[in-house]
Amino acid sequence: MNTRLGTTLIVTIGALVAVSGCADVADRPSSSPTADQSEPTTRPPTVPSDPGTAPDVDAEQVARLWGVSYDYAALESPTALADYAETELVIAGRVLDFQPGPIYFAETLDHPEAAPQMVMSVQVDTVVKGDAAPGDTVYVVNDVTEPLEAYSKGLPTGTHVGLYLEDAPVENDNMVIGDEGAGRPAGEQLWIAGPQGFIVADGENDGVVFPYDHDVAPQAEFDEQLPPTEER
Amino acid sequence: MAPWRRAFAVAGGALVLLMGLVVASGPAAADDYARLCSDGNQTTGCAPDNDLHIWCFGGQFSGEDLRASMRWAINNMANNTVMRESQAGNCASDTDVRWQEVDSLPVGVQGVYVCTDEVGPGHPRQCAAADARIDTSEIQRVGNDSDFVGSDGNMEPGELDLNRDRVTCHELGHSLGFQHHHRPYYEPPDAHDKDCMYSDWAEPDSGLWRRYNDHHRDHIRDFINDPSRFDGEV
Repeated sequence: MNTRLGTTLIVTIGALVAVSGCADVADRPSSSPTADQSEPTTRPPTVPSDPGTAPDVDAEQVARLWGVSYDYAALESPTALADYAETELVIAGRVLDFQPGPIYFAETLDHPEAAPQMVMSVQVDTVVKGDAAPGDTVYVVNDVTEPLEAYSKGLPTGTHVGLYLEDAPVENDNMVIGDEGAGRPAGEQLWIAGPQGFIVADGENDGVVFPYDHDVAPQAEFDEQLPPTEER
Repeated sequence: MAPWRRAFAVAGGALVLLMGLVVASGPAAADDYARLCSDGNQTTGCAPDNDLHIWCFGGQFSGEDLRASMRWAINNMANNTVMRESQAGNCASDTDVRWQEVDSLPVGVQGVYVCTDEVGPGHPRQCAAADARIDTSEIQRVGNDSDFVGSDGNMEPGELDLNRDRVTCHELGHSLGFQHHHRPYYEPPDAHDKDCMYSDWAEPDSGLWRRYNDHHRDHIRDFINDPSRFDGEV
């Protein structure tokens, strides 16, 4: 562990809340799901503009939900991960909902649902890096291996998350994408997070969960998982 | 696991280890075989559905090196565990391991295993079909960049081949129910820890990175010989 970070990055959720206090969903209708009037009978969930305190989650359950096992080489610190060129957006925010996403599959396979995806929408509270603003909604694609209801139950609307995001995959020689625009409003960017880049807060003082690593860290502080900024 | 997370992971791991020592009663249970399938809600590292692994190449491959590494991993499994293998001409929805090359994984992610067909209601959960996706470009990225833990950023001859084999061995290991090998978090791996289920970059200092360790081999042997011995064990 980077002990320097551990001792210097003690920034409270409260501070995070304070610097993002300008977040106002109602003021950003173009990117907020609350502004999507195209399907009034299925309005997406909303969250208050004030992030408030992080709700508790069933950490062990969340750690088991993401049925993907990544073999990866780690970067040394949150700063190193944020500074990496491919990391285009780093945010803290709150889960809105989960929707069926595109389907990724290798071209020659005869099982076109080889890799069904879901899209997790997250309302931005704090931007550490990248082109986003508090109140925006970001859409993060994940392999889906359980019914969507399981994810919605494990990470209910309002759950605090940290995300280091890269551009989501696009079609290439190895992969065809079906229903490419699924899971988000037309034209919205789709992102992907790596195993170090998806952090779930379990309440204010109960630690964090790294879903892709199936790892619960009850002693960890949520804010320590994000790099410092001048504002934070 | 990210280094900045290792200190608290040690504390949590110590608790898990202590609990494991208390409750473990089955064969080769010092770590948790197919542990992540324990509540029926996880599809990673599930036990195989039988002792015959049918496998295939799916999609396009950028060259022969990765396919050769995948064949090596299959042979390594067949030669060093109780599992048998058979190549399928075409991938199907019930093929046990569908090898794929991808170039779309997140930074530093060299491979990924996803079970797409869990079977059985009990523990350990079993997997009837899975994808093992390898990202050669990320393997090369990590080897050439000392920002990643374990990499000196300067690939020596054979280092790329070693890590390609370690990754194919690793993903195939998940299809046998093996978990990541993370012990101890806070120290460099010693000889005992060097096997292909260890994550992070492998410098070419020994041939151990291409193996499954004795403990993992015992797990799959015991499971295949008598799956009922594992019922309820976590």
